[in-house]
Formats: sequence, structure tokens, C-alpha cells
Amino acid sequence: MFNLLPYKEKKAIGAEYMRRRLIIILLFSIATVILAGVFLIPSFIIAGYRLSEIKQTVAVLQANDAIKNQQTYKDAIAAANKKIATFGLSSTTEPLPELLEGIAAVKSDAITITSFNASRTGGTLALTVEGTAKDRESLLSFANLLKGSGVYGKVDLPISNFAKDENISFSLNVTTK
Amino acid sequence: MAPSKFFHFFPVPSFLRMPAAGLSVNDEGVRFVHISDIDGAAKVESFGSADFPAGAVVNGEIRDEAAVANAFAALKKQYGLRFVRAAISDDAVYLFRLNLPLISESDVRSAIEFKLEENVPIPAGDAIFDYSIANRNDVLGTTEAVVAAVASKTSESYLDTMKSAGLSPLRLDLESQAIAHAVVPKAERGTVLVAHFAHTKTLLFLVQGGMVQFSFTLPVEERADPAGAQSPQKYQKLVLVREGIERIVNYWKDTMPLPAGESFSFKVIASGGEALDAEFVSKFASLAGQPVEVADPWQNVFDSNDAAPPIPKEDSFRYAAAIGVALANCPRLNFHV
Repeated sequence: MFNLLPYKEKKAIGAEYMRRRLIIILLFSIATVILAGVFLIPSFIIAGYRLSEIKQTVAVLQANDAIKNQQTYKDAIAAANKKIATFGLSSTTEPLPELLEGIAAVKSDAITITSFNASRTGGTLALTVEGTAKDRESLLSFANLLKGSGVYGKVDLPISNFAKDENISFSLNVTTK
Repeated sequence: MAPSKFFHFFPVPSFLRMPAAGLSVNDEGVRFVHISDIDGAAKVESFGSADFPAGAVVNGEIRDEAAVANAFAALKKQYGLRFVRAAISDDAVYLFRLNLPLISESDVRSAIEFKLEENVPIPAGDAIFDYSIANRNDVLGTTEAVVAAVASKTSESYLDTMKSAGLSPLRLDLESQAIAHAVVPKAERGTVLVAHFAHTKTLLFLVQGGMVQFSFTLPVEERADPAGAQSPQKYQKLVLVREGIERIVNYWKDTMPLPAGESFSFKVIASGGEALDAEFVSKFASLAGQPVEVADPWQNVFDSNDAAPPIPKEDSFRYAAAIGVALANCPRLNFHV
């Protein structure tokens, strides 16, 4: 068939058709988005409920952890306090490191210390120092130097430590003032 | 999924299809038929007509735009028309066949434009034309096109008049082409000569491959029957029709020379109100020298066994052009328009 409309009019009809196509495409797109939204609403609601459940669960678990952590911290603090108490790191007593430094300061080369044992009884710290001495003179000299330092209240060197002349294994008890 | 099944479930929105009524405008008035395609079956939504005052349209040219616009507006108001595909009288249109060299389809328009003034009495710049490729012969190196041309002021006057009445024309076609779509069976691929007997004129046109190749309008009342004044008035036109047929046949023979020994054969279809008069058709057949078939304007719309047309047969011929141009609304009726 022929179309004897003016060329300008044919173009206008073509443009009108294209405009209608675009409108249809746009409407279908909007309808698709709306339908997708409508169909996703139940999933959104369910997801919301799930999220709140999970949040509650997490809150409960976090509360339990906090309680556990609190207990752990308490235990850790208690252990630390015990150690502090053991080592005499209290403001009311002589610090243990100073006591040990005092022993090391008077020790001659003839004395070898192998171990320390510390124990607190009331406000008094008792140290047991074990080691070996080259001979009786050096051991006696070590004990006298400790007594003469003025840091320690009592320095007890049992007589049994002098049974041997040389390479004497000794055990010395020292208490703070 | 077959396209028909697909479109059954997902029909093209009406907003996009822009359903249009078929509108035929001639000197007598305007007629419209609105056919819709529902799942491949045609349905006549509405039809109607309005007559023009005498002289409002003369020989296809609008002389009184206000009167024509009023008739359009009355139909629009009564039937809610908006988009239309219109067929205008062949009197206002020049239809011719043009032989061109074998050129690409993109060059055909410019080639026709170049030769337009050789074939129509209007400057190419003042003409609006459209064409159909009738044949491309690679051996002979020719392209044959059927060209329809109209003065741009004529096309614009129809366009402006319709728009002023609130109608939106999507197409402006020829009355003969529209009638051919209605009265020539859609399966017919041979040459058919259609004689459409209207009240004030007889339209003769040659159809090949569903396409009008040449048309000729006879204002039959103006001449007397040379065979004798005793003949009834309505038979007088047949003499001129016979002359018209001879002119068309001669034109066709000149345009499409046949190989030696072959004769030009064609089928004749009688259309129009007088085609229902058996005696008239019989006389026409004897003058034409071959059998004449009586047209059915609804044959390409309905299967006559399944549905009855809403317009009585005697009136249907007045709507033939409107029916033909309205068929463009129904691509799924397998009618290639």
C-alpha cells in the first residue's frame, strides 16, 4: 500500500511510535520493579525477624562472654595479687629485688648461689639461699657480710654447713627486719 | 513457542498498536470501518458514514475544508475515532508504472524523484510520492516500480482537515488500492481487472500481485450510449466501461509487452452496488468478452461460513475502500498491507 502523507508527517508518526515504545518499556520496567518489591516484602519481613533473633542471640552470647571474661579478669587479678604478695611488692615491706641485690653485692667469687626460696609470714619475708662455697672461710665471710650490711634482721647459718672443709653446699636463712 | 502463540499470551498493547479505523473519502462523503484483530479473527468494532455537501470535495480535491472537517468531526464524536488510515479518491492521485535500471532499493526513491516530472504534471518539489517495487529483473537489469504521486497541497489539505477534526491520520492511500485489498482475494497473484461501479463514477483498475498497477476513472453520466438511446440509463455506463477496459488493456500491453504468441489474460471482478444486479453483470460480461466475478468486500475479513458481516451486502460495496484500508489494522489476518 502507498502512504501519501507528507514526509514530515511520516517522521512525526514514526517519532510518536518510538515515544510510545519508550513509554511502554518504562512502564514495564516500573511494573517489574514494583512487582519485585511486592514479592520481596515477605522475604524482607522474614529477614527482619531473623536479624532481630540473631541480634538477641548475639547479645546473650556477648553477655555470657562478658561474665566469663569478668571471672577470668578476677582470677588473673587475684593471681597477680598473690604473686605481688609473694614477691613482697608491697609498700609496707622491703622489696624482694633489693633484698636479692643486697645478697649479690656481698657475694664473693668463692660463693656460688644456686637457688632462692622466699616465703612471707605476717610482715616478715624469709629467704632461703642455697649454693656452694669454696671453703669454710669464704662461707663464714659471706654470712658475716650479710649480717653486717644492716639490711637483714636475722642471718642464720646452721653449723652443719661447716661439716666439710671445701666445696661446701650450704643453706642460709635470711629474714627481713 | 510460535509467534502466534506468543502473541496470544502476550498481545501487543493497544497503546503501541495504535488501532486505526479505515476511512475512505471521495466526492460523495466519508465512510469508515474499524476492524480489530482478536486472536487472528477479525471483528468489526464500528462503522459509519457522513455525506458531504455538494461541491465540498470535487475530483478528490477538498474545496470546502470546513464542511469536510465537520463531517469528520461528527464521525469522531459519534464513534470515538482517533487514529485513521485514509483512502482518497484516485482522481487526486497520479498512478504510473516506471522502469528503472537495476539499482539498489536505497537508490530507488531518488531515481523516481528524478523521473517524476516526466510522468506527472506537477513539479517534483510540490509532489509527494510513494512507490512499490513490482519487479526486479537481474537478467534484463531493470527495476519496475509502481508510483503514486499527489500534489503536496492536496495531501496537506487532507491532513489539515483531519487534524482540525481531531483525527490522527497514519496513512493516506489510494481508493483503488484500498478497494483492491477488499475485493481481490488475498491469495490471488494473477492479473485482475476490477470495475467498481459507484453512484457518480466507475473506477477501473488493474491489479497484479495484490498491487494496483493502473487506474482509470469514468464519470459515466456525462456521455450517452452510442449504441442507442433506448438502453436503460444504468446500462449506458457499460459501453464506456468497455472503452475503459480497452484503454487499460492497451496500456498494459504497451507497458508489459508479452512474448510472441502469448495473449494478455486477466480476471474481471465487478464491484459496487450494481454488481448485485445479475442482469447488469451479465451485460457487463458480454461487453467485456469474458466471465465476470462478483466481488465480496468482506472476503478477506471473514470466512463467510463462520461469520456474517455486520453491514448488508448491498451497502458493503460503499464501504469497500474503508474495509480495504482498515485491513492494515489486522496484520495477523495474513493480509500483507
